[in-house]
Amino acid sequence: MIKKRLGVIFACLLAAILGGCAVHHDGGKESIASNVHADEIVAKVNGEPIRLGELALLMARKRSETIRYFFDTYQAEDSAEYWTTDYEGERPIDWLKAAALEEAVRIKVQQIIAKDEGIVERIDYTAFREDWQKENERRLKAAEKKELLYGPLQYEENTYYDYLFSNMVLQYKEMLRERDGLSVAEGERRYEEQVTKGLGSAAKATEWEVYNRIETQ
Amino acid sequence: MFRMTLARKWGMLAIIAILLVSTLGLPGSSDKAYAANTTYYVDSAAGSDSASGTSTSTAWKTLTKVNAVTFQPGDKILFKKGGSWNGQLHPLGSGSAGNPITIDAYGTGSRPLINGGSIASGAAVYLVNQQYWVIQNLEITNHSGSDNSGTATVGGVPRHGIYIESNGGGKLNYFRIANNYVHDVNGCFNCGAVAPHTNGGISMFAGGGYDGFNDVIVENNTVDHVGRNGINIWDASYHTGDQTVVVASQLSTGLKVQNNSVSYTDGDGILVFGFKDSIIQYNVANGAGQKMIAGFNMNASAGIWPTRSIGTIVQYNEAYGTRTTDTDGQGFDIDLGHYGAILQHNYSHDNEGGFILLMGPYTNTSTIRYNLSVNDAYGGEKGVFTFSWGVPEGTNIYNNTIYIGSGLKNPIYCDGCDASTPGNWSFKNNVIYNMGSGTYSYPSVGATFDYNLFYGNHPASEPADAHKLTSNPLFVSAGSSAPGLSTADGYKLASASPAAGSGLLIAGNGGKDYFGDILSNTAAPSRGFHEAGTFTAPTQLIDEASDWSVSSSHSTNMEFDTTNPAYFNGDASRIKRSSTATGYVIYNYADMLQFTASIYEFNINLTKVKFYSSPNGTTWTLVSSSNTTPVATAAGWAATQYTPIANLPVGTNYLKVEFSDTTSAWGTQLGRIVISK
Repeated sequence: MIKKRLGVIFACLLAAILGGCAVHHDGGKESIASNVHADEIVAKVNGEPIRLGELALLMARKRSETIRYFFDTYQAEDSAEYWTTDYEGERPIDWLKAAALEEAVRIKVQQIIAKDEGIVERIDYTAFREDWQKENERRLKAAEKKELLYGPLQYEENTYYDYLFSNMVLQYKEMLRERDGLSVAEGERRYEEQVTKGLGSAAKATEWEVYNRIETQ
Repeated sequence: MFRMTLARKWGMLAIIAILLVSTLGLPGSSDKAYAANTTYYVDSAAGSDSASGTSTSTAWKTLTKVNAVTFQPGDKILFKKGGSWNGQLHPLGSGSAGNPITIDAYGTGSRPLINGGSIASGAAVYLVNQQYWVIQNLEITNHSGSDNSGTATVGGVPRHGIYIESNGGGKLNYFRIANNYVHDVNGCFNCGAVAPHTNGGISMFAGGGYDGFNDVIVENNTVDHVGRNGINIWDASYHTGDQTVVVASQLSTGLKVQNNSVSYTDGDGILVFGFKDSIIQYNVANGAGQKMIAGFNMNASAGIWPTRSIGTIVQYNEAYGTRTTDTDGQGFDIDLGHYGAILQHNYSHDNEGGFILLMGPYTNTSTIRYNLSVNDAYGGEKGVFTFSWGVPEGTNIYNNTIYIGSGLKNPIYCDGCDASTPGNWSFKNNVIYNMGSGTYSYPSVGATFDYNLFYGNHPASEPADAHKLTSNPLFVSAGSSAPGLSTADGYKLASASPAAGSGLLIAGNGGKDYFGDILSNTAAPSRGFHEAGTFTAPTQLIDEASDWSVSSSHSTNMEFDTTNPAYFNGDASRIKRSSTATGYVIYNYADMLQFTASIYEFNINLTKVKFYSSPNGTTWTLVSSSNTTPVATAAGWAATQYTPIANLPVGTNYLKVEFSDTTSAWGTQLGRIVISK
């Protein structure tokens, strides 16, 4: 079943994560073809936006976990209506969306902590997306010129997102240790405390109209 | 659209069966006869195991179906994107030289997912005693959902994303594992009787005395949240009885591990064991050493490391975020039983246990040069350079740049220094920018420190050095370990730097600094990983392949081809063979270090172009070379350029270019070669 209100490109954005993109949606544009839609805000954490593109990449990351859960719990196998099939009150699409949003909030809270200490300046997905595309353009050019290049020839969005995130966390922890004279173990503990506290006190607001639109056939 | 009447389906199968019998002459009774070069499709949502499998509309559905088939050379097994399969993919059969069996994806959307979580142990994708396989564009997970780490005394069970095994299968040829997303594999950390390092994300293991691998490329994979290791390629039969002696003829060969992104591994990121002349390059390893078991005696982890090998080149990798569990935690490691490793042009940062670990006994002649280390060894226990069990004989550490931020970070640390006789080793032309409060420790004999620059804090343990500099090296912009290569630019030398041009000339320096700038073979280099001086390209020997005046000899079946210059970028004369017997051209040029060979290929069988170096023209060593992606010219021809991966061995005076494609005498041509010193 296809919901009437589903945006055409948007449907394909999800289809890109969850399965093939049916031709009758938009003539075959299957990727996140429009920044307008990737930039749409699906939730906010302390006023900082989580955008659809960000949620989508985390949904790609969580897809296998969802499939594993429904297989382990309900022996669910793939089918044409897999993502919207009701298994004793649970649907894979809902489980996936919730898992991805939870992860997005956890990441956003850490980004806010790092931003507040000046470790990073830009934590908005729109900025990341620009950086990612620029990085891939740079990599293409560097490869053509046989210049130095680490890692994949082209970064997948998910991989680059974590590359930047992991470096941000390392730099934040280094700052913590140096500033407060902490051992590695103390620094780790302090960081976890800050994240837990940040998650507990975060003002989370979901844009339900957008969130609920994330459906698939 | 997937509905097909039963009659139609059976009709189609009957036609295929008739075709098989008539074209291959197979007995009609066989129901598992599959032709070579057949493409099979698998669709988890809309497929059917009773369909033929040979078109997208007659795709198979399950792994059970795929696993029952013995595939033939040239076959392809394509899984539909967006689909998911639970269980183990274990297709049967082997490809052949030039005709591998390929597992790949079709359609659009996310990679097809093979989820092995429901299997009791083993791999989501498994091959055993099979060869000539390509595995690409899959998403692979294998998480049992429960804790499988094991305890200090009881092992868990091995689990893998991809596992390729030679178990009495001999030396297996040709594997390409590319563009896969392998994640969430909960292999054992203690595996009981099984070596724990051999399970994890992507793993190859040859166990028997005559087992091994040849011609393996593992590239462009993303591997994360796996245990124990990320990418592990292992030939256990590196010795002939004495486990402390690596025997060249016992080693596996032809391995490249490149452009992979490996992160959050319980144990090591990338481990190569029992190989000769492997290349580990352009990888990123982040967050190795996520796990340890209290009381377990095998907790150590590092980011990227070879062991029980000869001649591994580890270059252009980035390793960061490696954790010290109860020991180790370096970005890189040249481990026990490694001979002649070159570790160069790597970027190491924010590794808790340091930049590199070097294991003392049974290891020697490692070269560590032109690397950058930023804020490593922040754990305070180990060192940026960590030696274990003494210092390996013949270790040469030169032209590295080390930036150490504040806090307890040891520049050099020695773990159990006196446990064995110290070897002779050298530490030259390095720049250590030390804002930390750590110390230097190393064996009191065997070390040569010379021409290093030590700036910042000077602990009493700082080594004596006859040509020591202590002035500010004047980095362009130091202090950052931010992601991306632009960070390394900050550690370049400003033109007024005292390190510029003040180093000691080192023979066989590799020819290039970290940034690819040319190094001189005659002038004093700069200290550190950046060559501040500008040197012109070395003198060259150029053969335009229009006569035999430049080369020194050639096999009798080598001749010139002057036809159709338009097919060869206008090149009016090339060297080709007159028969399919192996042919060669030899060049004599004293102390050559590099070459660039312009090759034209018709069949694009790039493995059939080889280069050998020699000091005397009689004993030859295969040169590890790489080539640019072939670019089509005209009429089916393509152009590519070959260069050696590293400088040719010091004292190379002869280079042999060899063509060995047996399918065509004329299909491989040498257009031009430039040999440099």
